Order: sequence, then structure tokens, then C-alpha cells
Amino acid sequence: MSVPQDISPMSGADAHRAHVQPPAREGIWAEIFRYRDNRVALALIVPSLLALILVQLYPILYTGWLILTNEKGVFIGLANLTRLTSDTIFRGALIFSLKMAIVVVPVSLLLGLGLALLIRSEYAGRKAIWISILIIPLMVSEIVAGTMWKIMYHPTLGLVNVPLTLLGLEPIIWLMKANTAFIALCIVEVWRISPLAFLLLYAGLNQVPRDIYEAAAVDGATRWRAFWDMTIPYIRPMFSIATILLFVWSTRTIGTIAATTAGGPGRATWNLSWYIYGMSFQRLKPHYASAAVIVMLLMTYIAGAIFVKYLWVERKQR
Amino acid sequence: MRATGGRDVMTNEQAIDSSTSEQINQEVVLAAQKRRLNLKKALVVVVLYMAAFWTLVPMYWVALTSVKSLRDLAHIPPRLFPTDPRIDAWVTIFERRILENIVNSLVVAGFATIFCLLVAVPAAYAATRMRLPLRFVGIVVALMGLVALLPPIASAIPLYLLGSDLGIIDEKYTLIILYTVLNTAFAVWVLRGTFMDVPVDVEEAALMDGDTRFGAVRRILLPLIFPSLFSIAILLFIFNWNEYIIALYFVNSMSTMTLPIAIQAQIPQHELDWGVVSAAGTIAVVPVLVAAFTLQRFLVRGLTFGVAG
Repeated sequence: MSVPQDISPMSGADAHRAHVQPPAREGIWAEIFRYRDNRVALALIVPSLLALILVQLYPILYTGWLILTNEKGVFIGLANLTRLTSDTIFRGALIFSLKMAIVVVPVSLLLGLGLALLIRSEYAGRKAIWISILIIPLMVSEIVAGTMWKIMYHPTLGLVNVPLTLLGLEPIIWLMKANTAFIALCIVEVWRISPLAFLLLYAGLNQVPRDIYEAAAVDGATRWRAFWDMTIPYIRPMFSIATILLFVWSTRTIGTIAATTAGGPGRATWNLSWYIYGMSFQRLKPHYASAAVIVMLLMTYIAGAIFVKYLWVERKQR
Repeated sequence: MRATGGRDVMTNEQAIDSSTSEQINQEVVLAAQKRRLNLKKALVVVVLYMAAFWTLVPMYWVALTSVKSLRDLAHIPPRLFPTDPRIDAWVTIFERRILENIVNSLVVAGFATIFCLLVAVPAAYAATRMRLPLRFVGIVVALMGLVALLPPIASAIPLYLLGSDLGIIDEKYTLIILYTVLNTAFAVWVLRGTFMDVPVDVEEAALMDGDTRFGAVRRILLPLIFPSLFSIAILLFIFNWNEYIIALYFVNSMSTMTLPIAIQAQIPQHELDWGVVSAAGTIAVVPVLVAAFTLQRFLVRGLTFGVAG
């Protein structure tokens, strides 16, 4: 970050300011407004800052106000939040989201890492084509992914039951029972988001210089040791980022559920997003749903704080 | 490691049978190595084919279901290939005015992408090329990174309530505005990485030669980053093309209905209607296939140097 700042075109007086005077001496706004260049830069940034305020600051502040009031606009304090703690549907949705993340994130990471290592190996031919194919699910709409898999799981139309019937087993009606519906949704999610793990880890592997392996081979290290002691430390930052992003993605999924089970059977496959949608839009209780939004925001931003921390740590190392 | 193993074998064999010339021995070892290499390569390729199969099979299945005849749809177990392809489902989906949904999606996604870039490119330029105080830029960039993580459903409720207060629910321009602002943070974040990849020396030289700042951007920077800019545009377009949650709240009628919502509406109530939704799903996937092949290089490179760099 500091690099382009230092070498950007500057006149003599500005250079003097940047290098000699400590930047934090005067107030940040005074510093911004003193120079014409800065005012122009600010004008260029302002539109996106406004967008930021509209989608970030305003919704969060408004959500904060919403949870303190009821549907008639009467101030009710923290009643919405306390009601949430005793809401079994909410608890079920939260547990479902976390359970899904616990299954989906490690499986996707392992799958992504395995494929990234394979593509990175010298044995994979046309890498560009393999990568293009493997990242397709990343760009398929949630609702389309859900629709595809709903057809795949269909008792008579679907492909998933074909191997089972060939083995002489009873076909499973995947989306009609709570247990199998959970497994089915986890598979859909792995299909949908494991390419993200693959892409991030492949990019991470690309940063590992190849010559260190030759050096290690000369020193007599086995491939396995080289993997654990050199590859893993190199891709660890990317691994953390991938973990956090996958966690965030898997908890926010809604289209796959809408298309496959619609929360059913019963409320067995309600996740947090589906709960918020159901509460706010179908039952028209946006104030109460906002309490669940706050829980989700907390989850996301704890993950996000870790995300930023890793980005910063890595940048300082460079 | 394999090389040393080969050498061990060679010395053993030499010890056992010293009459064999070294030339032949080496050829035998090389052949064995080559065979092992081929085996490994075959194994890797087989696993990759399996991964590709796992990735592509739902798409194949949807496309297949969309052209199956009614008899094939009812066949148990399901046929893996069409025996009697029909386009009935495709006719039906266009009779249900999917074309309007496609046009809506194209208009909304296209305009939102253009507006988003118009807002984000100057911001990314200012953040990387102009000397705003480091602290200020740091705060803005960190905020934008965090917004990129914000679940859309979290902003959906407040924005929906705001929209209904202003009476702009169920309008195409509302969707365009919302998609623009929702993606701005992400776009600035990615564009910033792209701009940082381009060395400033050339621009600096142009400025020294008396070019204006805008001239330097137009003549030097933009041509340099154009491939990345194009990729980011495609990425944003795909995001907008796929967007579901905001549309779920903001779409009420056929005049604004985008493709994802239309597809959800086609999920059948009675059993043999699956061809229609399959056709709709196939339509939605086509741009995605194009985008995946266009974007892969940019994504790998962008993630290697942009996000982590």
C-alpha cells in the first residue's frame, strides 16, 4: 500500500511534506483539504463512499433502530433480542447453518486443495481448460444450482438414484426426510462453493517458488515433508482466507434452499438466511427478523475481522 | 528422490551383472522411470476427469431434461441420453414470456455493471495513484473489504423498507441502482489491486512531458489495464445476472422479473413439467459457461497478486 504512495508523481513542495513532516501531525481532514490534488482525489472517492453508506452504514443503523421497535413503531428496548433467544425456530436455523458450515467448509477445503495440487502438478495437461471447467459452479446462480440439483435428486428423473437402483438398493427420496435433505444440501453446497476453495488455494500455490522444492530435494527431503514444511506454510494465509470466505458463503446461502427444499420437510432445512427471509417477507415481521440479521452480521464480521487481519499481516511481511 | 532411487537400482544391477554394458542399463532404468511417470500422469488425468464430471454433470442433466420427450421423462430408470429429443419445453418456456425476463436481466445487469465501473474506477484510481493521507485510504479500503463480506440479506430488509417508503419497489431502475451500489465496494477492492499491479513510471513520464492527469489516464493507464477491466466487467455482470436475494424482495411483477426469480417461479407444481424449468435453467447457465472460460486467467492472476498482494 505504501509503495504507490511514495513513488507517485509529486512536485517538490509536496515531496517535502510527505517525507519530512510526519503525516499525523495535523487533523486528517485539514490535511486532505489543504491540497488541490487531494480535493480531486476525494471527489473521485466520494461516489463510492456514498454507495458504501447506502448499502452499509444506513442498513446497519436502520437495523439497529428496527430491533428496538415493534411493528407499530413503538420503542420496546431489547425485547426482540430476548425473544430471539427463546425462539426454537431461530435456534434450529442457527444450528442448521453452523452444522452445514462444519460439514461443507472442511470438505470443500480438502477437495479444493487436492484439485489445486493436481492442477499445479506437472502431470495436468492444459491447465487453463481444467481451471475453466472447475470454476464454473462458482458463477452459477444459487437458484439455478438449486434447481439443477433438485432435478438430480428427483426420485424418478434424477441421476443420483441411478447408481443405487443399479446396485439393487431402494431409491432414496432425498429431499423428503430431514437427515437425507441435510446431506443433499451439503452436497449441493460443496458443489457450489468448493471451486472457490480450489481457486484461492491454486492462487496460493502459484506463489510458492518452484526452486525451493529442488533445494529441498537436494537436501534429501521427501515429497511429503516438503509438502508439510514448505507448501503448507506458504499457502497458510490463503488457506485462512478461503476458510473464512467459505464459512461466510455457506451460511448466507438461500437460493439453493429455496429451490430444493423450500425449508422443508417441516422446518428441517431452515438456515439463518431463510429464517430472516421468512420472518421479514412472508410473515411481515421485519423488526423481529432484524434481530436475526444482527446475529448474522456478528458472525460475518467476526469472520471479516479475521480476514482483514490476515490480509494486513501478510502485507506487512512483504 | 526418484532420481536417487533409480541410481540405487542401477548400482545394484551393476554389482550383480557386471557384464551388461552401462549404456543398456541406463536405458532400462529410464524406461522404467518413464512408465512410472506415465502411470502417475494417467492417475492425475483420471482424477481430473472425475472432477470435471462432478462439476458438469448437473448442467448436462438439466440440458438433457429440457429436451426429453414426455415418454422419456416418465421412463424409469431415467435415460442417460435423449432417445427422442423434443423442443416442447423450449417452446413452452418462450410462451411463458421468458424472453422478457432475459431482457430484464440483461438490461439490469448491463447498466448496473457500467454504472458500477463508472463509480469504482475513479475511486480505485484515487486510492492508488493520488496521495491522499495513508490513514484515510486505509480506512476506506478496509471498510470496502468488509462491505464485500456483508450478506446481501442483511441490507435487504432496510433497503426494502426504504424502497417501499419511497414507492420505488418493483422498478427496473431501483434494481439497477441497488446492484450498482451493492457491487461498488467489491469493484473498488479488486480494481485497486489491478491498478497497483501497473507501475506508475510511465504515467509519471507522461505527466513530466506536460500531459494532463486525465490525458495520462486515458492514453496510458486505461489501455494497460483494459484486459483486467474487461474481466472485472464480466465478473460484475455475472454477479448481477445471478443476483437473487435483492430481486426476491424488489420484484413483484413481470415487468421487472429477472431470470433467477422467473426460474424459481417455473419450479413445477405437477410432475411432468420439469422440462420447462430445465430449459430456463439452461438459458441462465449459458453466459456462465462463456464467463468461466473468459475469466479463469484473470481470476487466478487476480487472486495471486490482487487479493493477497
